[in-house]
Amino acid sequence: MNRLPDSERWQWLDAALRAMLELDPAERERAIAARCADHPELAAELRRLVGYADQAGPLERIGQSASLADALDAISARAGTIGGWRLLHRIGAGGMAEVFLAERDNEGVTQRAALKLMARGLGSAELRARFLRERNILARLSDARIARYFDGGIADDGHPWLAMEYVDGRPIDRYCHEENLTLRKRLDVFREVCGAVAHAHRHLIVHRDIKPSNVLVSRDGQVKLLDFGIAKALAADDEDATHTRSRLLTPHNASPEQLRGEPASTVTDVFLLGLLLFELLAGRRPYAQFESDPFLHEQAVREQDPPAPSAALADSLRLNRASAPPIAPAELRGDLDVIVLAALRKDPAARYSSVERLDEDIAAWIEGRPVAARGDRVGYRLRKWLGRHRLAAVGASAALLVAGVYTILLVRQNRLVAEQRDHATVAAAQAAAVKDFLLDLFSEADPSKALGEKLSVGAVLEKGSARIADGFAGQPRVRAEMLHTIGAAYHALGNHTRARELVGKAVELRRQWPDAGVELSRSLSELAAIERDDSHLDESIALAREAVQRAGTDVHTRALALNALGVGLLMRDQELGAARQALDEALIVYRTWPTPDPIRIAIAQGNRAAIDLSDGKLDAAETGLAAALDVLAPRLGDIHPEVTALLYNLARLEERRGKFAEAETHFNRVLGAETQVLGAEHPDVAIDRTRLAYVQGERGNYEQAERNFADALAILRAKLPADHKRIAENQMGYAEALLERGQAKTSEAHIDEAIQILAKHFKDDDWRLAEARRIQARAWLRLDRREAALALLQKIGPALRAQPPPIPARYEAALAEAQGVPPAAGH
Amino acid sequence: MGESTDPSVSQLIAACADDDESLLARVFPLVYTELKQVAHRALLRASGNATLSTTALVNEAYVKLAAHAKLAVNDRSHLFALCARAMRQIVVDHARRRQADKRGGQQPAMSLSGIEPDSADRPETIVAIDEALGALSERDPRLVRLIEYRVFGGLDTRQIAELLDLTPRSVQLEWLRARAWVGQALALNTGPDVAP
Repeated sequence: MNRLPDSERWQWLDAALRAMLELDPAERERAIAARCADHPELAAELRRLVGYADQAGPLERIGQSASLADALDAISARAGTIGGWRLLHRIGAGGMAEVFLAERDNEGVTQRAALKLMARGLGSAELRARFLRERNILARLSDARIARYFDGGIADDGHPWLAMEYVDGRPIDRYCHEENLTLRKRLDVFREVCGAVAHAHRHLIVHRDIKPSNVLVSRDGQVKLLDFGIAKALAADDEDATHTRSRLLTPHNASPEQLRGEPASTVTDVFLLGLLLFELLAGRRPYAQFESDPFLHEQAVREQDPPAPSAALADSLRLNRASAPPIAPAELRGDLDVIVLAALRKDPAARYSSVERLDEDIAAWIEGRPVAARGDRVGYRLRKWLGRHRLAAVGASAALLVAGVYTILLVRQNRLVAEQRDHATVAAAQAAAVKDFLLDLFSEADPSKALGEKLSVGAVLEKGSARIADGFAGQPRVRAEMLHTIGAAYHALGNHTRARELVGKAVELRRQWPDAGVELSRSLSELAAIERDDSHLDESIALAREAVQRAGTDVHTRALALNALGVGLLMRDQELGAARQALDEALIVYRTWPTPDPIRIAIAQGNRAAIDLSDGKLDAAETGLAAALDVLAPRLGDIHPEVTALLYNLARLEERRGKFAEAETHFNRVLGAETQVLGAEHPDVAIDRTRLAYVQGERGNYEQAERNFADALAILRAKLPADHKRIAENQMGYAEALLERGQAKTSEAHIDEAIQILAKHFKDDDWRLAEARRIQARAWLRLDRREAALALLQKIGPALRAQPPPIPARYEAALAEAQGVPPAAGH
Repeated sequence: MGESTDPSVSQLIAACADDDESLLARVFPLVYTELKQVAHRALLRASGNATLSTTALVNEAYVKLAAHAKLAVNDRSHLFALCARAMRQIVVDHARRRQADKRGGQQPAMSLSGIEPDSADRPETIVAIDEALGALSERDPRLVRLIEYRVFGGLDTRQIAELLDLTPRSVQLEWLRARAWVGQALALNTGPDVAP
């Protein structure tokens, strides 16, 4: 290591060096010769030292290099944690974001990630909500060629972040160059990229920023696409679009339509892939000669036809043979030129209509078949086809609605695929078929066609179920999967009748196949959830029990079934013990999943806390709810239904504690989120509006309470069966509010109806019926039927006095009113 | 936690005045930590994109540490040397980590003689320079301090001259010596005109 001479020699040389440095450079050579006359062996060394002194060396360069800044950046990262991720050091930075290598401990395993921290904070609540929604979509991409999304959120200072799989690899252009790949190998690698992009397009995620630095090849030769959909997730709202655009885009890697400020679509990605292919084949970008002038460059991308790749390759070879690809221009001339140029057409409608088409043509070229990009007829066909496949370019408002449902469907579908991943290529093939079907179905919801006739989500789903009804005769398993998926979508949208019908059919089909236990179990769990949401608890529990049994040893399916069973039992609250047992077991099973999913675990924990809440163990419930919220709220956001459910239970908890102001705050938050996600007409929103109204009543705010009860009741009547318990629940509160507002007659009508409903669900001596009768008695009192009221109150006394507060106190108040001093209104 | 506590600061001042090596070794972590915190805060302020000026950082760390006492010129020189040393340590630590990250990969191990003049960004180079400075400090500790002032503390000739009580011209000559000996220690290959 130590290259310095020994001490004596050093001192001699150092003294000589000092002397030389004092001299004019021109005199040095002579002085060295003179000084070293007695030590000729030192002359060369002294000469070398003087040589080092004469020119700037590594010491100067350290100061100018990025090393110091890098080291300091690393300090900042090492000091930080975001969303539970420890930032190790910075691995990249750009105008939009910084990327850190990060790690976290996940169930005892240290997980590494590339954490992307956006430079710009998200100001409005709307932008945040949108970011969180988009982020959830990213989570569903599951292709080995796409860097996996792990986690994401918004840091304390408002900056959004995303944690993605960390890829140790080289950009694809460098990889091709350094490995000196042949034409054929380059095409193979490129086709992998096409496959990844096509996968994302099937999920309606457009990349928008495909460029060599976003396409890595890992050490084992695996292609990995980075930053999928991030541009979309982070795209600001429309008024800010130009600003975002200028930040995001350089003409190097942008399509003409992006430069024009138009929304990106799947064919934008086709163009960007065309650019990438051009560069991999020709060794340079198509508009390289304009790159020194941004203005000319942008104009060229928008207006000028690119050169043929073969011609550009000839240029590269002429300019620098060593850095050019090992390809002869003649190999590109002809079909490959045509393919690349077809992808690079200015008019999106004239390009390949999809990445698959581009990929197919490359495959055709490799196999020596004719390529489709040849011939004019194709252009026409492309245009025609494209008209129906522009959904991904969602921009028009009509399409947004459709895209929303689409997302729900795909999210569900993808979740299923994830759950099935372990066992069966058959299942995977089925899932793929279902996805293609969905894509096709939704592609008919073309925004341009929908203008004028407002397209409803229901209409799209209707069309889907109709097609399932007459199609797929030869593929019953695929049909069953589609019935299940569309049915689940109906369930998510609150149309329980259609949901039951479709999932019921899936169950029916799957019962025929002895080997379909797992699939059957999933459909049974879904059906159990539908029945539960319609308050058919006995049916729900029976279905869930069967689901548990059919799940066999499949841990994913078993946990889902146990969860369904636990929630069903919990809602029929006589069996809390059994519910607790099922949910505890579900928790255990969730934890044995090969890759434990903290989100599912937290959801099960939340359900478990709901039992504690029903048990009256308020402190335990609060702990469980808070723990689940800690995991879920930052990952999923307020508007996610599971988070909303937790907030709801928290509101109920405060209500139980008599803290009505807090409860009202939570309920309002719940309603805000639900209205945004489900729409104001959804029965769940009406149910929660009922709870809000109750709390407002408790606070003495009868006017608001009455209005909320009435609004909620109208929706409940429209969406739920006439004998639904939720209707009775609403009417009990509504009737009391009406009494306070002096409308005894209307109040009586509601409470009578509530009692009729409750009588169908509960035994005659159940406290809930008694509670409704107490309200009925109060109405009678106001209507001057004191004796009947008193008799009724005496009958229900035992049932209500046995209940926890505040029920007995309310009863005593009503009884006192009936027996004693009549209230002012009743004299 | 982020603030320097008084006992360590008085130790620090004593160390600066004494030039006691073991005492210096003890207060060094304090300076190191302080500098890191200064850097961290600076980065937070810059919200990511700004390139950091090492000069500004070392100065800020110095000012923070010096704020606790009135320092004589000699103490200031020592304290600044400590800050620059801490900065060197941070850079080298980082380079070693990067080296460790790369290990096991395709990156071939580099022999020192293979270091080229334009490789200052490579962690291997930084680690090699650190080792060269280690060797050089046995022969000429003041020269190493001068190197640290300039490279890691970002000081200019005039400031260094003041701290080391030299004339600017001597500082320039010393810098040429520094180039020569570091070049020698790294066995730099500087080109055909110097080849023996």
